[in-house]
Amino acid sequence: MPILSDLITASGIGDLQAEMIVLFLPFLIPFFYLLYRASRTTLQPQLRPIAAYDSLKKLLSRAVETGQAVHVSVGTAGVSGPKMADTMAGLYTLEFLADRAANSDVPPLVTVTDPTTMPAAMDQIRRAYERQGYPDEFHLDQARFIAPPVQGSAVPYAAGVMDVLNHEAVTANVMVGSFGDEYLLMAEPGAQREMFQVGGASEPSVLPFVYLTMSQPLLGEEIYAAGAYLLERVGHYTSLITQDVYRIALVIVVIVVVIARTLGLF
Amino acid sequence: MQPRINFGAILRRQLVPVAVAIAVGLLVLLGEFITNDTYADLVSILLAWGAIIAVFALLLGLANVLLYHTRRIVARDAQMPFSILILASAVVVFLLVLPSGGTGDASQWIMRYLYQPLEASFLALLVFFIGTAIYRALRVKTWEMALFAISAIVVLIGSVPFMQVVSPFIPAAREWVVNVPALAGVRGILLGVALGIIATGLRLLTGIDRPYSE
Repeated sequence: MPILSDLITASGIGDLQAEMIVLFLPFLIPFFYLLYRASRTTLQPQLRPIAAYDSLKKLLSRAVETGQAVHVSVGTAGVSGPKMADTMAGLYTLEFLADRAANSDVPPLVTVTDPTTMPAAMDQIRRAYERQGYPDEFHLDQARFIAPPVQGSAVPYAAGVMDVLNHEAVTANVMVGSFGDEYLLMAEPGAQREMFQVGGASEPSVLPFVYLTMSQPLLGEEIYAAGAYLLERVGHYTSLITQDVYRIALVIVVIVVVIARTLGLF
Repeated sequence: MQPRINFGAILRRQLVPVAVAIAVGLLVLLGEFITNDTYADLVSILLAWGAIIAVFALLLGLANVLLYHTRRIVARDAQMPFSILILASAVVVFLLVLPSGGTGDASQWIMRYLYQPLEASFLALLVFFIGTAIYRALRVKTWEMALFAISAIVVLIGSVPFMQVVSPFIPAAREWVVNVPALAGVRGILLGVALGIIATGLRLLTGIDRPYSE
């Protein structure tokens, strides 16, 4: 197809970019089709149970019973850049917890490290109080800025979170977002105190720490399902189903290619 | 009587932020696909604006720290001495760094002789935390934890150089664990993560998710 190749070259789209478009475009078809279907019917899919999300739904009653706050960390990344999706997963979790907490006397204790996440987290809490009809209950210090990352390291933030978990009245610890090795520094003191902990990350090198320290871990892509499981929004359902459709297609392609190469077909 | 719809507020708090977010998001995304110098300049300007906004967010964070610790001092909280230390450190570092800037001698000295040793000491705790975490895992008697612990022990022992002399089987087992089941698992996780990132980005770009507006 030399004409198509020339056209692509003239448009300024490189080979790598063309491959990205080829992989990205098929994602749009089921996504928008399901969105269109959802607008005409009531979409309420049967989701497989994820114990961590089930436990989050019961977490606030534990906080109300004990009168102690739930600590929430939305990760060490910001609301821009490659880890934005992880931060968004943390913010969806915070939105859910803040909504529930707005009806009680025990607000969540939110800590952040990235400056761009700070206003986003504050806004989630403020809007939760507005939605529940208590706008005056929101205070600026309900989201606490610990320390900014220093040369990409979130260790100062981890030190601050350790102090919060060790010295403040906290009944549970929720950590969902983008984390590095500092995850263990924050989660292990809670695990040693047998605090109830729910957390997740997407970075494979951090997942052993998540698995070892969390009462209910969320592993890898499970964190991106927070919106569908907790907020139960149509847009999140459609993207979750689209992910599944695309994943099944990719698995089939991988199996076919492996069989074909094993048989020496190419 | 029907409540009046405030179109001005809807425009200001919903439509304008959504339109700006979608337009800027699409422009920056297209910059990844189009290799054109003029377009690249436009994307650079938008990213620079983003950096400026991030600086204001940092000031907001600093104000939050000052507010929180001042309140603790005023309330004579049990942790008051640490709040005084934090505020005093902030003021001293600010005054020392101000004349020469963030890359000046004072800043470099603070980083090299104060911050980095503190960070290294703190990270050293990871060794003990890994030990206690693995010990706790061994006490939980589920087959997943057993598999986890066996894999960890095989990889740890297999990584010791003299194991090659003791028995070549253990380093070979380590290589197999790292390159076959662990790598397969990591690739599967990364595949799911990539799909999750695309889905989240798509929801934001299409305005289905609007964390920036009412």
